[in-house]
Amino acid sequence: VGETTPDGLVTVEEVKCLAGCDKAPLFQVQSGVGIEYHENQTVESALDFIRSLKT
Amino acid sequence: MPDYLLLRHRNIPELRKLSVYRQNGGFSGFQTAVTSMQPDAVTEVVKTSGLRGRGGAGFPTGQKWSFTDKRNWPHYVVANADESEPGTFKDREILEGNPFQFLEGVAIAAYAVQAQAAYVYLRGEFWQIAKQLDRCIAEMEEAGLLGEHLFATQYSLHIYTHLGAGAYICGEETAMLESLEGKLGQPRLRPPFPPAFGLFGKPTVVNNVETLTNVPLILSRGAAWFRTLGTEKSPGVKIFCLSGCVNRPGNYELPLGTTFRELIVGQGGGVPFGHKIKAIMPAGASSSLIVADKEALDTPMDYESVPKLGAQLGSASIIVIDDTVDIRWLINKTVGFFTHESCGKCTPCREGTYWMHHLTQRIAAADKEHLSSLQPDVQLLQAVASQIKNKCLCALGDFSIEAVLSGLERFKDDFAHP
Repeated sequence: VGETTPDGLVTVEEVKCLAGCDKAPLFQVQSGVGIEYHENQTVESALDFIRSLKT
Repeated sequence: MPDYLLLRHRNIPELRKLSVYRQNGGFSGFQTAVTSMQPDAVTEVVKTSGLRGRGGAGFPTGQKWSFTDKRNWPHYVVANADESEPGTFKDREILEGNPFQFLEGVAIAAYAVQAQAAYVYLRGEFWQIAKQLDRCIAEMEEAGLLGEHLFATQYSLHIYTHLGAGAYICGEETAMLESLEGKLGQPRLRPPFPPAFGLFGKPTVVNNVETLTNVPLILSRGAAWFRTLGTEKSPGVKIFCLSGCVNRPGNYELPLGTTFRELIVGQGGGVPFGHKIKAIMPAGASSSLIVADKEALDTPMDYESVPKLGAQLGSASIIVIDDTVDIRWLINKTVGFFTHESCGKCTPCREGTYWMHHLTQRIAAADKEHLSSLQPDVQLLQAVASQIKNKCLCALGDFSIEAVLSGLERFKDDFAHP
């Protein structure tokens, strides 16, 4: 947390309150395209998402 | 399935469409108000219903409307959709699923105080919801429900959305007004309160999304009907946002006066993994910690009963804490949040949250065996927290110490070496 991957693709930050405590764990993705939300996540689904970014 | 009032989209799937909302009685309250009721009569109905603000303070809504200064024009209505209390996620569901009932509430409030412009202030994260609301507003304009000379009367109304930039403080009503005016979002000295000196210095009614979503039903079904729900002093239903260590987190629309036990165990399915419930935060990160004993669990959740447990109902964001959670960790989280969100205007809050966070970080990081050497830090934390109380323009400073002081007092074992 707070670090960036060596390829500069992903930086992970801890935040509080994305208006979905009932859908936690969740993360917000900020990219050139816009902002999107991924709710009801697991470590595995989050890693899958990051892998999908790399391809 | 229960007969929902605010979360009606759970009963009626397509309710977010204007045609479906109108087929289900939508905008009949607004039309009746504009075509056949005096503005003050509308306020009187809401007053009689006993509706209280759902944003946290629980102030009687009709009374607030009646305070609008009639010697000073124009008037404004601002809907507070800056929902950003950690643990709160009810307005989001209303705005996503039942937007027209909310917008009708805004329109009725505007008619009652004769405002011709109303603003919906949304937190920055709600930008998709803001887009959807803009489409809803455009549909209402096309259908003649917003605009000039509504229903062939002299009354005209426009509704605008405005996105914040992600500051918790802008949920505080006067900071929100500053932000709407394009200024730095920092609270104002009160009094004067917004009904006397609000947006652009004009009389303004500021209401929470959930509060306004109640209004169309009060108009169409009557104040007496509304009073049959909930308790005598806290009528109506409330959306309880249940989260934390609980099997089925989510929004639960229940009558005010429902007990904690019914919500957490009956509806929410209790605490997972066979753990025991330890504490309850009834008002999100701003709450005092309640010891979850039998008496607390059997307490009705309304604006009168929760204070008897030394806490507030607030926006009813019920966070369940189980016995695996160390209160030191928890107060470090809440204090960290308030340190980040303090706007910096008042010294006790700006400096106080900063120093509290230093202390809570040290206290939370300590091994359980070394807690006795941390007693000076614990005492200093208590002293700093006590000095923030009642010394700031808005409630953020006071909120930052609720969990700290109640945690230190009610969960002593977590701070002391046994």
